[in-house]
Amino acid sequence: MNFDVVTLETGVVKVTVDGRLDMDAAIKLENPFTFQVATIKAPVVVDMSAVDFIASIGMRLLLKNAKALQGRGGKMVLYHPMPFVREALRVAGFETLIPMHDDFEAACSDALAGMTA
Amino acid sequence: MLGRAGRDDRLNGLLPLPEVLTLRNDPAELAVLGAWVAKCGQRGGWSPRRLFRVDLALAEAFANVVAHAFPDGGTHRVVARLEDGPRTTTARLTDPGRPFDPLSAPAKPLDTALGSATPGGWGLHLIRHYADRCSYARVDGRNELRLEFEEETPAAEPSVSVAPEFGWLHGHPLLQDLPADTLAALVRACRRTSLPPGEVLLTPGEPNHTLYFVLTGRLRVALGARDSAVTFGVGAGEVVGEMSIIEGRPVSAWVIAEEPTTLLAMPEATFWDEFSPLPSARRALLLFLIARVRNTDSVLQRELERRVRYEFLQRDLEAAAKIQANLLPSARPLVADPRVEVDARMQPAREVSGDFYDALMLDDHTVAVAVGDVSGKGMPAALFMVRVIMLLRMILERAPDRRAVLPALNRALCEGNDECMFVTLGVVVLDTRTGALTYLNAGHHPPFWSLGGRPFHLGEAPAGPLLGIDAKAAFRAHEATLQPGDSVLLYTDGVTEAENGGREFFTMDRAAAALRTLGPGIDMAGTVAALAAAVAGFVGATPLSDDVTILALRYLGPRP
Repeated sequence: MNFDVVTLETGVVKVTVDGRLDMDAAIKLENPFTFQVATIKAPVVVDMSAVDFIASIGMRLLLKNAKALQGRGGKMVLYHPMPFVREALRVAGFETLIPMHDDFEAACSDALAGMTA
Repeated sequence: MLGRAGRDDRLNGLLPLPEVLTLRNDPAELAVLGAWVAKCGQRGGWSPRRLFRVDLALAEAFANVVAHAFPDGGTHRVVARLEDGPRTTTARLTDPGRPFDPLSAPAKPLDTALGSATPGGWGLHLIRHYADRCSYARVDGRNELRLEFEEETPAAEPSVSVAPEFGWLHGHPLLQDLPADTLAALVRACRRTSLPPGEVLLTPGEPNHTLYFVLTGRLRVALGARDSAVTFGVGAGEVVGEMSIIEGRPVSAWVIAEEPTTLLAMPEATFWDEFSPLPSARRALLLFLIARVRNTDSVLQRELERRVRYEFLQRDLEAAAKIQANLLPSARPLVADPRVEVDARMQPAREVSGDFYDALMLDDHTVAVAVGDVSGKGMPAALFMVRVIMLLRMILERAPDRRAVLPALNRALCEGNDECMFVTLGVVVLDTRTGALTYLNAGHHPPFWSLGGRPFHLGEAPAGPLLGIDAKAAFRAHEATLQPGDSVLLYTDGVTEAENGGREFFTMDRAAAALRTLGPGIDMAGTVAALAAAVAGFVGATPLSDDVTILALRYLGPRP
């Protein structure tokens, strides 16, 4: 499980996680993820392209931080979840909660456009 | 009593063992559960999608149990089981918590806006989506959740819809992402074909210049021989022929239609010139090849494991046969008391047998001999026999009253005898000072007696029930007094039911006839050898169907 955060020139904060978003990962990521994502006001793109498993505990992590970010005027967008993971997110109703894009530029523009003053 | 077929049957029976994992009701155990499911999936050769479905549904079910089953806390055992059928994986999760049917609980409606969304309540949606069938039962004070996952073809993956005129491609994943005009051009260069079940598509060693997209049905790839056990299936949404095209070499495996199958046949030139340069096709093809390599690996690994298990079992059988042979007394004389003469032989039909004999001195004037036949075959029967012999020796040496021997042995054998194995047994206990004899019988053939210098004849004796079935069974003891020179002969049904080439049995009558011809001066070794020779002469070249065991005892008198 890797966790990496970079701020791109456009101002988009790109968060990369990989492997399994399960209980172990949720416990490990809880604090760093929240610290990096939910304490700022920024467009955040979470790169999901290397996540091959997600359980509801992992979804909880995403939702909690997406909500906190929105509360601060930021926006979270998911970039390129793999088909299995995307299906699980769809089943849990995430398609109407957090935008998902397979194209990185589209993900960045969506996140930037969602910023509120 | 163990046939080759029997051994193979048990080997096959060994393979689809249910996998069992015991967990604590602790969220941290989710990682253990996930690793275990991955291992089972690899062993079972699951597709990545099946693994994902089982993995996620079980993780959600377990998280549910941890969160809801034990409101009073404490550490409890939650048991997960996985069983792989030919097309179905069945998962069961059992916990001793309060009655809770997660399936009857209303699923939380899905949130529609981030602002008002609350985390949680997704588990049930996920379980119902990923398991094909779910059921809940309260069994023996436990909650049991059963989830079944059907095999599926990769085409069932969430897919982008294909233009309607290409519906007959059934959303083949290698073709579905192509723009309609590209797809139309490609399809024009291909031909559609179909195969009836059993038809051979590719033959090892032959050249192949076509890539086949499986649209519907199922093919079987056999590595090595055409009827090889090392095979894997290729279903709708997959391709075959890619290896020979990419390598430019002849076909390396048999490919045979398992079901009525429709294919799109793409010529090699079209593949190289038009299909493979397309970026989306290239990526899909690479992903597909990786999955194929992984799958083949796991097929080979399973085959290797199967062979290793077989060899281990074979070695176990050889060891069991040796242990068994060492258990039967073999030194001559079988009994050191000069007032009796005892001889015995056991000829096993196969490597691990069900027959046994025993001869031992209980004290300086009491000799005990026994002949028995254990039901069943193979290792369980051999282990049961070891138990019978050990218990019999122990009980004979300790029981002051001979009549208590069979009831005590029977009770001991009934305990924990879940396999319902049983044994027939004949026991003779002789006081060599007086010739006083006790004969005990548990479902065994009656012995032959030679009394007062007369030839052997079948004696009256209580038959008695089998040992190991009914713990409360009653047994009668037969008491007699032997005069010097009197003999008794015990045997198993391998003697009377020995079969010749004409499918006739040796029978009690033939045994009696063989024994009647013996001269009065013949010793016990000669008697046993003569009866064994008569059986051998009768069956001729026909292999023995059952073990042949014979034991004879003669009382020589208080002062021989």
